[in-house]
This record gives sequence, C-alpha cells and structure tokens, in this order.
Amino acid sequence: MTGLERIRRAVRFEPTDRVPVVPLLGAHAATLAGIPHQRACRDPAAQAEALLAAVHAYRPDAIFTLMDLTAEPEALGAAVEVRPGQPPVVTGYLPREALDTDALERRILTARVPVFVETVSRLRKSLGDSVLVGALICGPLTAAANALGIETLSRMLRRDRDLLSRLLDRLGAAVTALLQRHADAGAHAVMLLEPVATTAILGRRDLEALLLPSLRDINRAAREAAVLSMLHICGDCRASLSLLGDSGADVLSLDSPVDLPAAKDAIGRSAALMGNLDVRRLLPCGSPASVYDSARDLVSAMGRSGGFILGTGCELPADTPRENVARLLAAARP
Amino acid sequence: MDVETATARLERAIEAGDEEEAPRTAQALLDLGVEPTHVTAALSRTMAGLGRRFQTLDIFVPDLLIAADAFEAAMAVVEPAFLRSEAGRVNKGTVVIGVVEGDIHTLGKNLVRVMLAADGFTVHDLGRDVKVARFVQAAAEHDADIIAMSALMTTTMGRMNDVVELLRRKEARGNRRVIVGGAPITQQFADEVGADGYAEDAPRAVALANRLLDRPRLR
Repeated sequence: MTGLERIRRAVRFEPTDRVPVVPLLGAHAATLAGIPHQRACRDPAAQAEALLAAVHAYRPDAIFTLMDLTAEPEALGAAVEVRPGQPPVVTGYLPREALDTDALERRILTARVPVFVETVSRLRKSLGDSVLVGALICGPLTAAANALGIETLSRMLRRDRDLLSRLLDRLGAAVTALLQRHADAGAHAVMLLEPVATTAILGRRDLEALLLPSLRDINRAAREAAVLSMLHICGDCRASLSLLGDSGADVLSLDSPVDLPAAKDAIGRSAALMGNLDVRRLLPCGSPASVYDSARDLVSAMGRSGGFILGTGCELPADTPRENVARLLAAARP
Repeated sequence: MDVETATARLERAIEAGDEEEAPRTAQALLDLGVEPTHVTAALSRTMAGLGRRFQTLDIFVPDLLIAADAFEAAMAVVEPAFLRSEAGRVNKGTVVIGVVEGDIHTLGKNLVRVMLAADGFTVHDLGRDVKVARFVQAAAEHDADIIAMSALMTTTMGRMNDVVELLRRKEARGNRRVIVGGAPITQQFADEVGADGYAEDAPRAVALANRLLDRPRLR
C-alpha cells in the first residue's frame, strides 16, 4: 500500500495496513537539507529539494509544502520582510478597502505564491503517487488577519461584521482559485491553515456566521477538483469541533491542546482527524523515547480502523532533533 | 442622572466596547462630583469581570479588545484627576512591556497592557519588535518592578532568554521580575530561561503580576 492509498483509505474510514503518519516537515526539512528558510520560501527548486530529502530520510505517507502564512497576504499586497534565519513576517498591513475587490482571485496568484505551486509540481514529478503531495495555503480568515492585522480583524468582528463578511467571501473565492491552481499542478490535497480560527478569537457564533460558509464553498470546490480538503486549526478549538466537522473538510488537522480521542467522539465520522503531537515542547525538546511513547499512546487511543492520520500539532520547528522525528515515524510502523 | 445609574452605564459601555459612551459617562461621573477612584474602580472591576468571562469562553478576544479600547478612552478622561488624587499617588507596580525583537504580533501584549493598567499598575509600552537592550534600558529608566515580554513565534521566543541574560550580565535584574507570554510559550520554557513567571492569557498575567509583587523574590 502506498502512502497515498493509505491516506485515502484512512480518510474514507477504511482499515489500513498501518496508521498513516504525516508530520508537517517544512521548516525542519529545509534545515535538514542545509537550505536557508528564506531561500526555500522563494525558490521552488530549493524547496522541493528540501522536501524530497525529508521524504527520503523519513518516508512519511505525505509531504506538504513549507508553512508560510505570509505568502498569500504578500500576494494580496501586504508588506513582508525576510530576516536571516527567520521565517518571513508581515511588516505592513493593508487598509480594509484593499481587500474589498473582485481582483483578489487574480492577485492571490502573484508574488511568492507561484513558488509553492511550482514546488507541488516538482514534488509530483519526483514522487508520482507514491506519497500524498499536499499544499499548505492560508484560509480566508487567516489571510485577512495577516493582510489587515489581527487587531483590525478582531475589531471588525464586533464593529463591522457586514464588511468582514464580504471580505471573507471575496477571500474565499480567491483561496478557491489558488486551490484550483494547486490541483492543476498535481496536488493530491490542499490544507487550509486557519490558526486565527482558534476558539479564543473566533467563538462558535462567529465561526458559524462568518467563516463556515466560505470554508464549505472551498471544500466543495476541492471535491469537484478531486483534491482532498484538509483544515488545520492551531491552538484550542474544542468548543467549535462539531461546527468544524461540518465544514466539509475531509480531514481536520488539530493542535496538541485538543484531546484527539475526545474530538473523535465529538465529530463522529464527519471528518478524519490528523495530529497532534506537541511541537512546542515534546518534539523539539523531548527525548526520542518520550516522542515514541506519546505517538504509540495516541495511535492506540485513536484505533486502527481508519479516520486517523498520526501527525504533528503544527509544523515541526526547524531545529527539531532528527532522531525525534524518526521515532515519531517509527511509532506508526508495526 | 445619579451616580449609581451613571456607574452602571459606564460599566455597560466598557462591556459593549463603546468608545464614545465610555468617556462621556466617565466625564459625567466626574461632573457629578465623585472621587476619581470611584470611576477607576468601576473600570477596573469591569475589566476584571470581562477577564473572568474570557477565561470561561463566555466572551472572546474581539470582545476583550473593544472593551480595552473603551477602557482606554474612559481612562484618558479620568486619569488627570486620578493622578492628582491621593489614591493616584499609589502605584501597585511599574511594568515595562513589549513584543520581542523580530516579532510584530501585538494583540496579546496590548490586552495585557490594558488589563494591568486597569488593575492599578503603571505600564510603559515599548511596542513591538523591541530590541534586547531596549528592554533592559527601559527597565532602568522607569525603575520597573516587572519586565513583561511577549512572543508569538517559536523563532523569536529565544530573545526572551537574551533579555534575561543581558539583565544578568549588566547586574540589572535586582528585584525586577521577568514575566513572559505568547502562543508558543510554556511554563517550562519560562523556567528554562529564568523568568519569574508565565501567563497563558491577559487575565492570568494580571494575577501573576499581583502574585509576584506580593511575595519575596526567590533567588
């Protein structure tokens, strides 16, 4: 069974020969290959080289592009700065009106975004269907937050909901256009990154009224493009799990504050679950044995009858010890 | 409008994040002849209540943020009179706060700043992308009791260690407490860098600051 087949079966809640395992390797892969992060996020050949090196080193069931929450905001017009040894950061936000245009669907495909599309294409050429090749892209809420500033977005949630709703619809259409571009490049899956949809910021009422309609539209487009749709939420989203399960995503990728077996009970079979070993302490600082034990415990708690992909709560820190990553992968193998 | 009605209206304006009604009602209370501490106490009580509701997910960051806007608008009205009063000369503690170098995410830091001010601390906000030496320099300038640092990225949280190290090298820590927070920060990280405390959110940061200044420093 190939990694791609294993994941597709798991997503359909069918039994697999073993649990699929998919750590988000991006930044760590760049370090592993000795490629500076700032080069990997600008040069598709370098990014693909780093990710392929990680595939060969660890043999995961899927490989995703680098996590870069500034690529789409930069394409939309936000100013981004790259400092040596650090991932890019948004340093200049857009006025709200700049996103109130139907030009977003075109604009989101510019700047560094094509780097990630080209990376997907290169990965597919090298890997074929042996492992799942996926793209990480900003979801509409996080694209808005990083383009406008989280404080502007937070105030809009209470003071200008109509405009925010319209902007999220426009960004949803733009994200859909980007998803289609990744599908054309050969992506088997697209993972929407929505760290801003953590419950502390976006309560159930806001999620349901403002974000869920866009997510459903994007996930519907993914199905039509025959691409698996995945939704990643950082932090604690326990209070919103049932709604997230109804987003139409094939997979919910959840962070370590969420108890995955409890999440499974909460959403049933509405989506498969992926995650969620701690990337803040356990993976970068824990012992290899503690990583292995935690991963085995999670596999045991989640069962082996499909609907679960073992992974990380978020992207691995660049300097995660190689042995810890290897032990995470080993825990999925009999 | 009597004092009781105006006080209730002020509290509701803060809770609703009404930046126009809050300062107007604060002024109305002063015009009714109440002590400035009556107004600041109402503001403090309301923000503390919102903090508790945030911790139980009854309200969310956007609610806290607009309440903080209204609080600051009301404080701008009452602060001059408050500082002239007897109570205004009492400072619960002085805090310098900022987001560490390389990091521009100010939301959490801003909420902590407002919640600390609402609780009676004097807060000097150094802003975002604050260089290591600037934290140390500002702590000395303001004779700070607490240095509060925030980071949202794993790639920048190491700067907190650099600040603690520079304080040590310059022998500038003294009785100053260092507190840290932000999404990637944990108690274990705080312990490792030699911080005096870690808080998961703004209300807990206020409780932590009170706790740290309320007990002898452990060496």
